[in-house]
Amino acid sequence: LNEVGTGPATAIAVATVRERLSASGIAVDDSQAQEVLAFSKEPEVGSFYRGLPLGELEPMLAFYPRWRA
Amino acid sequence: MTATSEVVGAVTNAGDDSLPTVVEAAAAIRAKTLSPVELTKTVLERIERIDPLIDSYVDVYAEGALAQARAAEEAVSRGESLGPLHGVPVALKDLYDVAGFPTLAGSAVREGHVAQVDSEVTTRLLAAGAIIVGKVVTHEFAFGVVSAPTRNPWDPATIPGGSSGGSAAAVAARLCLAAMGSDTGGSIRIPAGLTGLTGLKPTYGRVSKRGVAALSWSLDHTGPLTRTVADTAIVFQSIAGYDPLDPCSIDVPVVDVLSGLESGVAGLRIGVPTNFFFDLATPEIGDAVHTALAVLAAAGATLVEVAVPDVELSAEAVTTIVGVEAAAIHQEELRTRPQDYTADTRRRLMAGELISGTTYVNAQRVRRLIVAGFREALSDVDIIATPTLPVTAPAFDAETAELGGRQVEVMPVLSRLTSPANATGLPALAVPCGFAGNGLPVSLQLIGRPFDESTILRAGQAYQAQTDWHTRQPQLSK
Repeated sequence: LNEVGTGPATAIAVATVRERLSASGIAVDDSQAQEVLAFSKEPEVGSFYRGLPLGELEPMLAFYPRWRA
Repeated sequence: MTATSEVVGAVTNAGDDSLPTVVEAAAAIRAKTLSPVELTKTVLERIERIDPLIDSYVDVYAEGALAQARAAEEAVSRGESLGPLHGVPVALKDLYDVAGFPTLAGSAVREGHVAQVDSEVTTRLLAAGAIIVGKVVTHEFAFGVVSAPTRNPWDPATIPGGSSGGSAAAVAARLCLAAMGSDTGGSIRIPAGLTGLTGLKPTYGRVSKRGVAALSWSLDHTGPLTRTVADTAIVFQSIAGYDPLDPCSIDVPVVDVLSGLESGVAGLRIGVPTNFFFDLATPEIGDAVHTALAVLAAAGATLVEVAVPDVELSAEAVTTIVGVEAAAIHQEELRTRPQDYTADTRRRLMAGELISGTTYVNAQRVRRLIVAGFREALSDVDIIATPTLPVTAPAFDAETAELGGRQVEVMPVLSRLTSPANATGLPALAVPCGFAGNGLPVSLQLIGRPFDESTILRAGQAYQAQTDWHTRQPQLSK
């Protein structure tokens, strides 16, 4: 789990989580938003992928039989 | 027909608290020395007596199973052609549809659900003669590795793993002869490994997922958990093959894995990874796996050191993809009845909602790197052998486990070494290879080339021919 602090940055992050979920039709309170924030690693993960040498690689399609010759 | 207890004792020489393996039972039924009815009654009696200790079943189809068993017995009497699983009691993870019965997937969200038709695997098991004895516990929607309330039969203070924890506990405790599981990041091999069983995640698309509640379309696999490799092979042979109604199914012919099962490992090249897989395993797990590899080498295999490029990216990619795909699958219920999910699943699904489209696509791009890494590693070897798990079964209420000297959330610890085969879709087999000092099972993982289940099964069978870990039975009594 991510460390979730109590400072102003965390309050903004919690509010952002609430707003994003609310905008997609999911209502949560601050406490629930904080729990989701603890599970969410989107900023770090997004940055992690951007740092990889993915070049021109195309994504695997979800239903593509990946090992077909 | 002879009473089951006598036959079981004769067949296994393991006393009154045992059950025959799938292979033993099928052979005895065919030879008319074991009654399917008596075998099913024995299983049902064991469930009633022992399952309260481990809570592996969510639903027992006693009446239906006995009716099936009577029909199976009559077919034997009439001299009919019998399927490979004729009269064998099998349990299904509570994600698999059985017509007329609920598939609750471990969740209040599915309350009131009744399946209209059998899953394709259910259909194939029944066609092979299996008796469906009931449904077993899954972690809610297979989104976790704990499988509460099920306990590990080797130590009820520990988890059986998951998400196919009920399947594993039921087989390990001899409450069925085989069980079906599903595997998105390791959910067949993790519980198999933690409970001393054999578990197979076939190649992606090899076994139908139609009628099995989905967690993540591009990562989900279905497969069996059993006590022995031979049992896994016979179940796999019965369920594998193209399903034109499953969009993930692949039309590649299934070879006869049973005919070559005893061929041994002479000439096989087994890759031993020089990176990642052994890095954070406890020393005794590393030792047990290396000892297992020495057994295979003594049986004629050649051990070859291999690097598996980019494999360390698997966990992140799988976590991202599962998060998004699960959130998509559950998007309606998450908005209309969020209170019906457990807090843990609800948090994970909401976290999935927050992952950006770019991140999801990048995770799918990363899979190409991981696949390329395995292609390279498998270009020189037939199998890659690794530990299945870096640790033994965590305590039932543990939120973290120690990995490389750090406390890490249980799920990434347990799926660390299994998720690469989900990211790639490669077949992978978990085989018990010893016990740690705490008395809990240790497991060897054999990862094969695409659609080459037969080679990993052959290697697993060769290993079990030389060892007896798979014959050990947890002591449970009531």
